[in-house]
Parts: sequence; C-alpha cells; structure tokens
Amino acid sequence: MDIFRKKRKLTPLLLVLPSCIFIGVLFCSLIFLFPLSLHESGGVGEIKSGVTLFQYYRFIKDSHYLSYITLSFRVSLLATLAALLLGYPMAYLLHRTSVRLRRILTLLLLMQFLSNYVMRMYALMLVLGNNGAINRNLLDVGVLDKPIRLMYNEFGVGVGLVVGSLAFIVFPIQSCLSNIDRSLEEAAQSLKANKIYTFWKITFPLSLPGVAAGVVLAFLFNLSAYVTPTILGGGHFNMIANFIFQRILEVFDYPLGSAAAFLLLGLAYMIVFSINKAFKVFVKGTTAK
Amino acid sequence: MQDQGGRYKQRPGVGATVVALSCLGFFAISIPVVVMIVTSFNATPDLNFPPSGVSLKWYLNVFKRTAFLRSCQLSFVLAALTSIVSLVLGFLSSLGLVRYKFIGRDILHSILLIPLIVPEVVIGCSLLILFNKLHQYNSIINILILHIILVLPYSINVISANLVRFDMTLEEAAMSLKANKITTFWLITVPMIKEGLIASAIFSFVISFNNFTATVFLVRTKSTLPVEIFSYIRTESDPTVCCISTLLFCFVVIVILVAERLVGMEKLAK
Amino acid sequence: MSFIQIEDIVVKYGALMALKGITIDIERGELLSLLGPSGCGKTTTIRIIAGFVHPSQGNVYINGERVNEVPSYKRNIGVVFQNFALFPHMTCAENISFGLRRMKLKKNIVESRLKEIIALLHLDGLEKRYPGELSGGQQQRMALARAMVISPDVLLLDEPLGSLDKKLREEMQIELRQLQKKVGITTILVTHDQEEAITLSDRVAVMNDGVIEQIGTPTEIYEKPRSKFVADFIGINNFINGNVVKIGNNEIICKIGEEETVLAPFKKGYVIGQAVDVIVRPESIELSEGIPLNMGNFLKGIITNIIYKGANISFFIRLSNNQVIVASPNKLDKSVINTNYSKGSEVFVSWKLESSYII
Repeated sequence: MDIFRKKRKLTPLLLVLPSCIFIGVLFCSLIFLFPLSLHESGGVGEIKSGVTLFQYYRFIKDSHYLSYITLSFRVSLLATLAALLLGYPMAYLLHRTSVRLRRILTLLLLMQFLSNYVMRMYALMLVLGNNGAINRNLLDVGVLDKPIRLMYNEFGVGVGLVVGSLAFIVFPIQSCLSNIDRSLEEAAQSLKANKIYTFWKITFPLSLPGVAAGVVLAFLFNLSAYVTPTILGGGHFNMIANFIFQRILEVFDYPLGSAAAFLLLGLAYMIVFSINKAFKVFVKGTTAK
Repeated sequence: MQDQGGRYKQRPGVGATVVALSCLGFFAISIPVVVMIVTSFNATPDLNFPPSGVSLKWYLNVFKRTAFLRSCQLSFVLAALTSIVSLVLGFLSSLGLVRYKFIGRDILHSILLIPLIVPEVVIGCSLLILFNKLHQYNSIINILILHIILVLPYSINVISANLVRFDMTLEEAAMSLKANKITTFWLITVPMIKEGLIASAIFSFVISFNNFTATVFLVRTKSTLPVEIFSYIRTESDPTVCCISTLLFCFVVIVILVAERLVGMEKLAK
Repeated sequence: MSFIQIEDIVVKYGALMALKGITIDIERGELLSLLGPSGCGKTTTIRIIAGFVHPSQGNVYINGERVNEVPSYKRNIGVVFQNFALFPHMTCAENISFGLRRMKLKKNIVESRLKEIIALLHLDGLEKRYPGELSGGQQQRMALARAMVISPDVLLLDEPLGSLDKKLREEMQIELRQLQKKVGITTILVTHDQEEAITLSDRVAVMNDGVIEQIGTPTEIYEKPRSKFVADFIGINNFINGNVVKIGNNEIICKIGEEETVLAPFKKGYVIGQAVDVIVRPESIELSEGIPLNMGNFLKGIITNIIYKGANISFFIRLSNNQVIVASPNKLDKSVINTNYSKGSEVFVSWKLESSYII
C-alpha cells in the first residue's frame, strides 16, 4: 500500500519536472548573473575581484545612468496610460458589438499582435518618419512648411510603445467584461440607473481585474522594451534595455550591465507586486456571488 | 431605442466617445501595417508614402538574398521544435498542476510563470553569460533552450485553463466502460482539450518565430529571421524589408484564419 | 383603466415568436402569477413590463401611462431576478440603497427607509456584508429589499424562489405573500411551480407557447380549467375521453367506452356527438368494492398500481375503455382505510357531479 501512495505523491512532481528543469536553467543564469554585478570592472571585459555594491551605487548616484531608469519609467507610464485610454474603449466596443464585427476586429488585433514586432515598429517608422506618411501628406497639403520630428525622440518611442502594448490591454479587459453577468446591468437599470451611471457604478468596477491584468502586462512590456527605442529612438532616446544591451554586448562592462539588469528586474517585480496590492485594496468583495 | 423586431436586450449602447477612441485605437494599429504593405510595392528604392510607382522587384530581392531564406528556415525549425517541446512539457506540467494537490503546488506554479515577469533583455543577457560559463557555444541549441523557457508559461497557462474546465466524470465514465488509462487518455482527454493544445501550439510557434530581444543576445553566425531583418534595417533603407514583412504578415493571417476555423475565437481567455 | 396593462403584445426574435398577442390587465395591489412551462413566454412578459425587451407590436401601460418608449430606468419598477443579480462589489446596505440613492432623496430619508426595509426583511446585522458572504435565503431577501425599498409601482419577480431548497422555499412563500399584502404592492410573479402559483396569488395566468391559456383566480383555474393544457399543468391529469350523448339542464351525459356513462356539470357550447374530455380531480375520487350509493358518477375499473405518497395514496385504475386514471384519496379517508386493495383488485371509482368538469 505504501508503494502506491509514494507513487501517487511522486507522479505530479515527475510530471512537472521537465518544465522545472528549463525554468531552473533560467534561475541558474540569474543566479550566475548576480555575482557579476557585485564586482568592479577593470576595463573592457575584465573584472576585478572583490565583492561590492559599487555598481548599484554608481548606477543610482550617476544622474546620467539614473536617467535611463527615470526616463524609461516616465515614457512607459505615459505610454501605458495612453494605451489604457485607447484600449479600454476598444475592449468595451468589442464587448458590446455584434458578433460579426467582434470577430473582424478581434482578428485585426490578433493579426497585429502575432506579427513580428520588429516589423511593426519598422512600419511605424514609415508612418512617423520625415518622409513618412504623416509628414509627406501634411507637406503636400500645405499644412506644414517642413516636416515635424515625430520620430527619433521620446514621442516616437512613446507612440511605438502604445501601439505595441495595446493588445496586452485590450484582451484582458474584454475577457473580464464578458464575464460580467448581464443581469447585473439590467438590475441597475431597474433601480433607476441610466446608462452612464450603470457603467460607472457597475460595469467599470467589475472590469477592474481585467484592467489591472492588462496594465501590469503592458507596463512590464514597455519598461523593458528594446526594439521600439532602438528603431524609433534611433539612438536619440535610449531606454534601460538599450543600456543593458550596450553594456553587455558592446562595451563588455558586465558588472554595470548586470547591475542594471537586476535593477530592472527588481523594478519589474515591484511593479507587479504593487499593482496587484493596490488593486486588492480598491476592489473588495468582487469574489463572485 | 425603437425596433421593429423586438431586440432581445436593450443594451446600454455605446457612446460616441467610446466609438471615437476605439476607432483611433484600431486605426493606430492598422495604419502602419497598411503603409508597410503598400510600400512593399514601391518602384523606387526609398520609403516614401504614397509610393511613386508600383513594382515587384523588391519581392524578388527578398528571395535573392540567401541570408533571408536561411534565417527564415532556421526560425521556422526553431519555432516548430519549440512548439512541440513546449506542448509536451506544458501538457505534462498542466496535468501535474491541475490534477494533483501537493505541498508547494502554488509556489511551483508561480515559479513556472517567472519568465513572464523577467524582462527579455535580462533573460537574454543572463543566459548568454551562463552559456559562456558552461562553454556551451552551440548557438542553435542555446536559442532553442531560450525559446522554450520563454514559451513555457504561456503553454502552461493555456493548457491549464482548458484542463480546469475539463469534466473528470468523462474519464470516469470511460474507465467504467473498460477503457484503461492510456486508451482513456487518447480517446477522451486529448480530443476534449484539443482546442487548448492547438492554441498553445500556435502561440508557442508564433512567439518563438517572432522573438527578437532575447534571441539577439545568443545569436552568433547563424541568425533568425527577426535578427536578420533588424540588421538589414540598420544598413539599408529600401522596401525589401516591407516585402518580407508583408509576406510574414500574410503567413500570420493564414495561420490565424486556420486556427480560428479549428478553434474559434474564445482561445483568448488569457 | 387597470393599474398595469399590456395589450396585444407580440415579441419576435427573428422568425421565432416568443409572445403571440398577450393582453393582461392587472389591478392595483394584486398579486398575479404567470404560470407555465419553460419557454412559454412568461419571463419575456415581465421583461416587457420592465422594459428590457421591446415588443414588436402592442402597448404597455403603467399607472395609466403608455411606457413603450420609456427606458427601464425611468419606469417605476422593481425587479427580482432569478439569480438575484446582487452587485458583488457592494455591501448589503449599498446594494439595497442603490435605487434610493438615484432618487436624489435627502440623506436622512434614505437612511430611514433603508433601516425600515432591513427590519422588515429580517436582514438586521448584515448591512456590511457582501452578497458572497450570505446564504441563499438572505440573498433572496436582500434582492427583494433592494427592489421594494424604492416603492415601485409594480414588483416583478422572476422565479425568485427557484434556487432555494423546498423547506426554505415554502417559508419564503408565506413571508413573501404576507409582505406583499402588508405593503400593498402590485406584484407579478413568474413561476413554473403550480403549487406556488395557487398558494400565493390573487389571480393566475397560465401561459403556453406564447399565449395565455387562462386567467383567473386559483380556484377558477383549479376547478374550471378551460383547456386540457391548463388542467394538466395544474395537476389534474385525469382526462376521460367520451362523447356527448345527452344534454340536460344541469348536466351533460357522456358515453365512455362501450357501456358506461358519466355526468358532468352543464356547460354551454357543447353538442351531441362532440368528443370531450371529462376531468376529475384525483383527490375527489372515492374507491369502493361495490356499487357506491349517492354518488353522481361511478365507473368500474381494475387497479394497476398503488403508490404511497405520504399523506395520500395514489391508485392507478384502468377503466373499461382502457384509460387509466389516478385516484389520490387521503390515506385516512373512509373509502380506503381498513380496506384491502391491491394490484388487480376490481373496484368502483366514484365522484360527485360537482367534482368533475367537461372540457
């Protein structure tokens, strides 16, 4: 009898083992990375011995380095909010519209979402560039004398981030909206709530879990973006990911690069944690009837 | 709202602001793609929009460049392998996580989802350093491992969601009808969750095929298609990239339409 | 004009007609039940009154005013949904006062009315709880409180007791009726449970497949069902086929099978030779071993099955024309107590003239 019980206890662990091995590889790599950040760099590719938190200190003290974090944070936050501003109505529209239109629009979103994001950012370049769709047309029509800089600056990167993270926002919100019981809205209407009041008091609060999920995904994605600032920033607007890339693959300053990487990781974790916490405080008792 | 044929529900309707903002949003994601497709037919070697002429010569260029073809092949193979491996591993893990209760199950579940939180840059550079340390320089295997790590959380999420909804009594019924565990598995369990499996496979394939940021850390001599496209953009500025992108885009569209036929739009329960 | 009136309402969903021309007048303060099987249109009917569905044709009047174009939130209605539809993210007090707060009343009035209704529905102490933390019965009362506190013109209840267990349901039925009478609120109740309809209502409307088969007091429905459907649904399922052979002043004589006849109370509109159903309520049938005396009707039959049902015993009896009817006398009734009936016994079934009815 004992053998069988042991076997039963072992089975799930065996099932999960292969995946754990792969994730374990990631863990190991992170564990290996950490010590690197605790050394001082002795020039290109060399590492002095000795453990120190110097890299972190350096990163935070130096305003140039710190600006990578603050600027990235700022543009990601703004981009995420903008994506939310556009994405919530999109999700709501998908939720309320006819089955046919929903299908078409969802298809549209999916096609864009599953396409290569290098490609998508490049396509944005075609629209935002000096010779791109917007500038070209405005020049031709005569509204502008010379092209406006929509790219290679924070604005361009911001737009790229918004476009890239829209899908992360729309899908969770739409999923959450579709789980709301229709009879709740009818009940509100029977209690003298007009459409707007019903939305603000009933629909919106109950969609907040989806909003939280979407915002977390989008913010994380934006904060650690690499492709977008590279293509649409053109070197004029670099974000944290660019910095890390540069440090590790171009300058071979492993200590500083890995310190930056861990700072980013810590930031990412804090964001996830705090958004989830904040969300739980706001919405109590939404655990279904 | 006045209707001739009693509309089933008096929906609160959708205000003008909602429609306006949504249109803006849908436009924002569609216009770049449209511009890209149109530009791929440009006659002149520049990226002006609207194009001054129509030509297919850039498409020919795509096929002439062996780098593109080779990297496409590599991406495809990697994506296929990633998809298969993650399907199997994801399925096994989901079974373990959903069907059994054991200590540390929730923690294990969270651990398996870690790749979702760690930024791709960090994953990329830390794996690079690890592989260097281990003197493991075969970039193809490295990239494969990377992709599997990236894709596993999605795979587990999708398949678990399907398994959770699976009605165990179906298996019990099968076993009462004298089907052993293996038969039950193949004839009952797998077909019932096949939607989740297909969705997972497609997702995994696409994520792997498209991945750039983490992959670029591990690429050496042979590169994947996204990396190849990226380096081309850096150096050249003719519409060739638009052509590849358009082709890729058509590929994605076909995949999605096929998947939709098979599975339906509800696989977006993320 | 009556207080609530729906007139010739037709509802179409594409090719499907959910309601095929319904007219109902409801008096102020009355409790009307809409009774019928699933899909008969009863829920659609109250959704029409509530304003969640628009009729393809017909008019709806509440308190004399035509409300077809008036949206739900401007009609003075209170609705209790089948699944209660309690807002999960609001406390009990917030739920109940939701409608009140929309009415722009002074704060102290809101609070006093809230207090009143909570006391009335025995929800004291639960104000700060969330719906998910309450039992089924408490949720039901909360839904009721929420709908009633805004003093609607009409209260619409969509199978409100359906999800409660039997004992709780019966308790709530009594409470509900008492409450309704006390407050005097016009109420329309949707149910598929004929016992519930008969117990609670001032009047019952039996619906089938989008039409109203009969509206009347519970007594009328039960004793004078107008169609086979109504009789069957209400629980009277003894239909004895026969043909009219003679029409008298007080009774109609019908021939059953080869030899026997039954008498049914006189009813206008029948001719000789017409094929009819004579219905008899199971609990009015008496059994005897010999020919009974002083009973208006009797027939010979053989017992095919006996089922004990607690307070009653159901006897399944095959008549001479091969039809089976059910007799459910109380087990302490003189006709069955101390008798020795068993399967295959030959008995006489009898009932008084007034207990039968011709359709």
